[in-house]
Amino acid sequence: MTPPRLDELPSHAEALPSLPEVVNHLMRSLNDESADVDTLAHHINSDPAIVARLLAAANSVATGLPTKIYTAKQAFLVLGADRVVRIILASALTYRYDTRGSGFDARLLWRHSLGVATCARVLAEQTGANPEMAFTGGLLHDVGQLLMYTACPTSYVQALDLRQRDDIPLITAERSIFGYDHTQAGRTLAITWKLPDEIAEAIGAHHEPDDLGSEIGNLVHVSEVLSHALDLGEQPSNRVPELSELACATLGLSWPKLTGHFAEIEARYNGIQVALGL
Amino acid sequence: MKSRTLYFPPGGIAPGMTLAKTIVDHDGHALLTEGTVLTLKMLDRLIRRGIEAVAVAVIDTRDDETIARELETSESRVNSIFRGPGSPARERLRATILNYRQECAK
Repeated sequence: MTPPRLDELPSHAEALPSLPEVVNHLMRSLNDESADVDTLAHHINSDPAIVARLLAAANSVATGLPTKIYTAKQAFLVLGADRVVRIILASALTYRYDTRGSGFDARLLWRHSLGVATCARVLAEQTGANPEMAFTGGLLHDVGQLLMYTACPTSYVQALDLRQRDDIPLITAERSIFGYDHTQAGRTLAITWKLPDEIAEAIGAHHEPDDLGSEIGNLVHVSEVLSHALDLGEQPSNRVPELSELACATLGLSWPKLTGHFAEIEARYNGIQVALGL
Repeated sequence: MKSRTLYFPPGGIAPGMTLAKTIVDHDGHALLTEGTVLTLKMLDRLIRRGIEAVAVAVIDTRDDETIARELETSESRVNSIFRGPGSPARERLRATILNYRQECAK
């Protein structure tokens, strides 16, 4: 089977399950200061599968609390809106896109994406960017891999094998087989799904951010590299990708200053990973 | 007795543990100061304030040989994940991570 061209990918996006409505709503609310708890809780309650996952995750986060969390509204009150939104986005995406097949396991992709999202949120807190947008960009940055695998599983597994065999970056292996990589595929998907522009930028720029020069693109790029460097997800073949000098300089990052947040990133990552059962 | 600092989500901390680092909220206000012995009520409050990670002091029961072994393992893992050539920016990150892992293992 020949892999599809990049311009043919949007037609293959239909083979992926659509984004849960609540995820669409939450992403639209990321830039909306007036989004209120009642409206958010109402949207969440329209999807029982998401409510069930939210309550399981919320009770895991709040293990030490004397009372249990029984409703979405209660989760908002106990854990705060930002945190509930993060839990819902992560749990909704990981259960809706739980693609598994020979040579491909979406759970590994989501574990890594959660690591990047956690780094992105902490880096955003340090650089003054929108932490929730950064988290979401991190969570979705590799979604192009799902689309490429769904469009042509045999070619995608071939790319994964090539990366493993020659110990080369995944984007190099993908380009040699598909003629494009998952950052381009992911950006195409983000546009097809009508995701916010910032998310499309984060996805498109996360390996090579210099051309786009977008703040969130730089942030998710550095988070991608930092997540590999901190070994979040501990994949045996983990290899730290190239880091853009320009992205670090533009964000004004100082590693000695950020070192103080590494242990916190690891603890946050472990907390959300356990909460989501990933 | 020797102790070391480890980070945990507040939901994973038992009451009675000692805070190893002052907790500051998003606005920079100190919520609890270093040395505080944590109670269930405090942990409850931290969860409700959205604090996701807390540094606590735990007794370090490792002997020198175990510490040396942990140091060696973490250094070799850092060298493995940073294998291959890289830009000066990547090299600086490698040095930062190596230093961080050495500090953690001590």
